[in-house]
Amino acid sequence: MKLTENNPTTSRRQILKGGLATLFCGSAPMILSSRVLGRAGNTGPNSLIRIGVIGNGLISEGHRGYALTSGQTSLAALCDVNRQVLEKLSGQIKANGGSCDTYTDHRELCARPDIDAVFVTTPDHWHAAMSIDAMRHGKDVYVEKPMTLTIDEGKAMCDAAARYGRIVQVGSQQRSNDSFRKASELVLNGYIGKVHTIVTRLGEFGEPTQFSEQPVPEYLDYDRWLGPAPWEPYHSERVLGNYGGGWRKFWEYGSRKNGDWGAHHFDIIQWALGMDESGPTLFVPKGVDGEHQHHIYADGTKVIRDGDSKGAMIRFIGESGEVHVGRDDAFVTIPAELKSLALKPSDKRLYASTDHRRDWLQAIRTRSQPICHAGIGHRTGTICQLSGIAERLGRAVKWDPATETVVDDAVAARMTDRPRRAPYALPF
Amino acid sequence: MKIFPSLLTLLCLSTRLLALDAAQVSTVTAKFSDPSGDVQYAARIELDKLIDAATAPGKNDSATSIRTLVEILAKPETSTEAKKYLLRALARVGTAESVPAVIAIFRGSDAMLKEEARQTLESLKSPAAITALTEALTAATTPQEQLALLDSLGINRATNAVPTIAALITKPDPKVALAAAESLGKIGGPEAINTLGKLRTDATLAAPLKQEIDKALLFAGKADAKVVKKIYQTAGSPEVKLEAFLLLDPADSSAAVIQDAMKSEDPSLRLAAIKRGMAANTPDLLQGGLNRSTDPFSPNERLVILQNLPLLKPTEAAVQIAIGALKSEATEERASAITALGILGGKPAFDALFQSLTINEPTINRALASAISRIDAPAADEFLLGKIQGPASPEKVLAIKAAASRLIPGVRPLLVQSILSDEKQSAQESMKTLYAIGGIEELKTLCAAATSTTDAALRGSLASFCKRLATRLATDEAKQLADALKAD
Repeated sequence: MKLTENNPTTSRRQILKGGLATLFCGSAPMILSSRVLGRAGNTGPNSLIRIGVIGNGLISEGHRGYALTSGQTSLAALCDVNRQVLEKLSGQIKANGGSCDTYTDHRELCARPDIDAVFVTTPDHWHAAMSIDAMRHGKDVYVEKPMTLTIDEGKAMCDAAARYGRIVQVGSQQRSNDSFRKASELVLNGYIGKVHTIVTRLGEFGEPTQFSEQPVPEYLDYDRWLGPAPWEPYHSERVLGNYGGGWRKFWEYGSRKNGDWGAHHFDIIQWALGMDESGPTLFVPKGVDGEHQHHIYADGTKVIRDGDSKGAMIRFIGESGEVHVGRDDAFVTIPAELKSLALKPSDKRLYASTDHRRDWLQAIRTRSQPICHAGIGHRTGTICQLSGIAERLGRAVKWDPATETVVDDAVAARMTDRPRRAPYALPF
Repeated sequence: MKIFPSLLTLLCLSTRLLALDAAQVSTVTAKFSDPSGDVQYAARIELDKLIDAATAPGKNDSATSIRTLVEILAKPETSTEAKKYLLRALARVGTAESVPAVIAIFRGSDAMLKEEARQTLESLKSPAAITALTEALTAATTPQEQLALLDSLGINRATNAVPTIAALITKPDPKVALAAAESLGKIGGPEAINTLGKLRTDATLAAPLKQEIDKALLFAGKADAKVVKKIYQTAGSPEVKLEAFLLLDPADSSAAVIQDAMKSEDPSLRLAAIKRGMAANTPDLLQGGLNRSTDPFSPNERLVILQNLPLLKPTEAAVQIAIGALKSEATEERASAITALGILGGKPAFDALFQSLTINEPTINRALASAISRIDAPAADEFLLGKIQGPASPEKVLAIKAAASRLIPGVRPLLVQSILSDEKQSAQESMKTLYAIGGIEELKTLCAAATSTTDAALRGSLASFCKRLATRLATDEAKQLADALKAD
């Protein structure tokens, strides 16, 4: 449902004057979308990429702000199942002399030919369907991590990106950080010798609960919030966007900590090990074969969750040294001089980006693969999801990364996808 | 709640030893009516753990356990809530044997359980389940039911359902018609492809539906070169044409086809064609060069070409194009050309990069540092060492700058010599380079130079670099070196 109309007379400059902090949406007069001009995919330096934001909860604020201030984009529309959120945002925009189209059904936003690209910033259970729908309507996609809720959805995303020729950037933004890249290059090029163990810190969520039913607020399209997920009665805690829990605690909507921090750190580990097109072969849950959840690559490299990471987010342990890395440029090497070592000409270089969203925009303009494209997001997502499957089944799960199939476990194999509640089918 | 994980662990261990029985399951499902939400959720987890343990690989009595679940599911006295979660469990562990009981619920009157049963049947992937779903589609009267069943049949690639589904495409409900086309696309196979092929020529169908049919046909026939080629040649929408181009068999994307696509009005198709042309090293792709006057490349196309230059053969030609682009007014183009030169390598590329070191822009500097560090040019190190050892000159300063991103064996003493010489520019650049390399050895070198110089101003500069480097290294040894310098 389209809730408000865009006002084509409001300039981006006017909106900027009105205060960036409260504005998330605007339009630019005289700057028509590349698509309106029939020049989709040819957004040059002087044409703005018109952005839609699907899902306007917790994580989306930065994306909205970026879409408004990047200088390369304009924010054309917002979509959310919560009308209160949309009304609040459009009210702020109106108060500052602007206007913005708002929708409660993402398909209407995706069907708009004048929108070039979308941020998909909903809970995980919606990522694949919305992203694919956007792609099949010719839009490029920045999707929050983990890219999908299931492994088969990841395959479908990769397929759609390739078939529709669309640019997908997965929000694993640690890749666009110099410290994580340099740390990964050191590991990748053997500067700490053969890596045998990696320890990463994910933390824990509390257990979810079966909430007693509450009346669904009139401003919320709860059926659409659930979408393809199994039906459960409404409770405000279930739909809550909260880094400490909320929907993130439920397997139906996310992959708990494996999909939360795991999607970031497992991704860097994959990068550093040069495994972006492959993955581990064994996933072992906590309490089975040791006190820590872990996964193991074919060469024996073991990734331990929540072991002794020496305070780092990721601790790589090699035969001749260590690399510890985290956010805020926390980057320590043993020996210390490795930290600023210049790579040799023969060393492998990793894709360098210092701004994840800008990298996406650059890829949109040149139709090149961004730093964390769908294929990478899928492989990292696979680790998050197989870790979760092993945890739920309470047993180790074997995986063949070449064929991307579960080995010798029919139940685990079936859990690589999920049935979807009607009418929320996964498009192709 | 604190003991919850321990109980679960115990439960996991115990269930690995025990077979599933009806009493156990009933005890757990009874908790679904408990007033405590925590107890209810724990019961769900408990039920799943019981079932998963009983059906784990290697369990000989797995079939018996599943039969037990099915019996409980079929009992009238089993609560709706219990049935809901049993259906979800069967979607995970069920077998063909489970199908009749699920069908019974699917054909029942409880709408919520019917939908749960539909999802379970979809997951079971057995012929009997697919037949039941197909029959249900024939009987379905509401769009909601039809949409659900079309999805299940598509996922199950239900070839027998193709005629039933095809009939829905011409029905008036547009949502159902689109879903039917999508379902046929997912089903694939000769019959679905044939059906979709006929439908795309049906003049009575609306344009959006025909576009959906094309997309479905491409999805179903993506491996069929003839289907893809036909759609590429006749597609009505730019999106479909682009999709078909990307799927074109190499045999069908000759130089002529690529050149033709490069003339398209659709910039996305043009860019895709350029990329394919570069990858295939198609002759004449760049006829007239990057700056051709007829049908000039757009800024984005020029970037695509520069980014893909390393694919182009012969390498010499690619290097010349990149060198030409170094004169571009667009920073991004120059940065892309620099990156390409770093990858392409060789003496001309190295010389061009070396000269570019005179530029002082952050984006260019970053690209240059990376390119200089990776360039595979024999004798590049010797060239730089020769310049660094040589008399004062602008090239000497550039060579010292290059050493920051290309660690050259034996360069440290030469940098110290420069620092202690009376060549101010070389000295300043040498300090920057040692700081940029930034290991403990560089810190020692800088500290030693600071100690040995009698020039107070130089000593001050060196001390400043030492302090910053020690802070960056953040080790005890580094701190001691910096402190010792301070004490001196």
